[in-house]
Amino acid sequence: MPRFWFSRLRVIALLTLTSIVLITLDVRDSPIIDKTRSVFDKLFTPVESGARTITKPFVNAWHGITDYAEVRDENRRLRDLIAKQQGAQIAAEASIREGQELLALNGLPNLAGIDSVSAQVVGESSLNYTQTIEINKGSSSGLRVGMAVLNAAGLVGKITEVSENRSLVMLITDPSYTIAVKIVAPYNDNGDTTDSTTTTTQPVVTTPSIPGFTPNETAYTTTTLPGQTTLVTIPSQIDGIQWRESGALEGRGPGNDPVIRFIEDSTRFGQIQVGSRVMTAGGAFSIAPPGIVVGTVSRIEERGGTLGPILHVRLTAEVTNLNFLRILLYQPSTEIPNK
Amino acid sequence: MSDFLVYVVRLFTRPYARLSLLALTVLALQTTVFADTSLAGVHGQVMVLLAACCGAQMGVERGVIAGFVIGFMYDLVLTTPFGVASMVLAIVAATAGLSKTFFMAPPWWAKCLAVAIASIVGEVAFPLLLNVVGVEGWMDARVIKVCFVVGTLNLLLSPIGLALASWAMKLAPPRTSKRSASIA
Repeated sequence: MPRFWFSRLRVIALLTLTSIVLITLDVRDSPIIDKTRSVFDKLFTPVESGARTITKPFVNAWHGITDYAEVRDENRRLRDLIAKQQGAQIAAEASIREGQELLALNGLPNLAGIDSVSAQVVGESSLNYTQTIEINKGSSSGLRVGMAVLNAAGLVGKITEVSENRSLVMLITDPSYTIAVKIVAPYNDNGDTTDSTTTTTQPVVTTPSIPGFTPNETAYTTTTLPGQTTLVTIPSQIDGIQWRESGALEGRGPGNDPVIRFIEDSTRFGQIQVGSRVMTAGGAFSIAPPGIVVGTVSRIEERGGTLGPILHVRLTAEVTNLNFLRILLYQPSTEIPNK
Repeated sequence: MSDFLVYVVRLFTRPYARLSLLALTVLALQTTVFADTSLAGVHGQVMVLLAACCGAQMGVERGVIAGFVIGFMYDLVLTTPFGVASMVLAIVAATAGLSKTFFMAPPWWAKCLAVAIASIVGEVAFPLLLNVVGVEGWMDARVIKVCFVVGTLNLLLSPIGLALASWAMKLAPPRTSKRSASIA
């Protein structure tokens, strides 16, 4: 066997071994790797900023050529959407306010009680096998690993790496992203109200299954302060009460809708339909607080046996076109380092 | 000051110092212009291109080291497990370097073809290795599209990449001592 073959084998074996050692160190959360990356990040940031400034005209020209038709169509579509939503917004704001007051009254956690920081997207992942973006806020703004990131439409992802003035956000579509969610049936499941332009028929009020309650008549009294009471009236549409199921939402890469697995096997499952809303479930070990809008069920894939169905979710946030984001200053217990 | 300048100039007579400088420049392009633009939803991979070009110009032994160095630098900015890019780009360089096994002095088109094939190998090796280290979900039909786009782009960019790799990896001229110079 020629001599150079041994030399070639030696080099390849040595480099393979080095790679395996590096991967092992990183998978075991070695601080050496984190420190090396952090130091390089500090040195490389000015180089990257310079390159970004120089190449910006080229990037803009590229987007101008490739995205022009799409942007024009989207602009037209968005104008229509804004016109439709202006009316609904006022009613929705009132409902949200009432809902938050009710949650606060009962001592339940809600998004209004969590501080947040706004940030702008400054870069995307350069690799085709990760779904991450870079934002212009870091530990100096109070950001920590694990915090939930959202935009005006809904959940976008979570923070995975933080430096002083930059952070990396893993998008909800990344296959490594998993979160506990709840699926809430649409308010009028029976199809009583389908379109704002058609006539709305009230659902038939049947005897509620909760003993002792009569719709619109039974009032639940709570005392908040000495001498002050609040009345909460049970709504008449008790049949339209929002059933919920919970499961785990997983990303499936770019271009694919995330899916929800591990749906609790329940006789009420028939209640979940295409269009059911998906929100974060919250809980002590969840990576996000409850009540963040994620999307709607777009497809239900039935599976045999006890596996339960798979729900495909259409996200409300458009993760391919992000600009301004909001980071909730809520660090899940699972992400707080052990002291 | 002049000593410092002389030191810097001497430093860049060394091939791996030049390669590191070139890799840093290409990395800056990769994380900016190539991260912000995409073709059919696929980002161009100039770090893979550089590794493949080093392999095609220098052969397996030196190419694999160059690929590892380039991959190591790429690992520093990626969120994937550290070491994956180093290993993948070493494989890319080794694959491109195999072209020297088939030809004594490969013609330019053979080198370009080797760069494209090695880039495709790299784009398959990435999700495969990620799967091995526990980052699942990337080995799907999209890999075919990624391979096609990256392979084509790198084939088109390979003449520039090969010229840059050739400049970075060329050996410094042998030093002549004062005595031998005076004899001459």
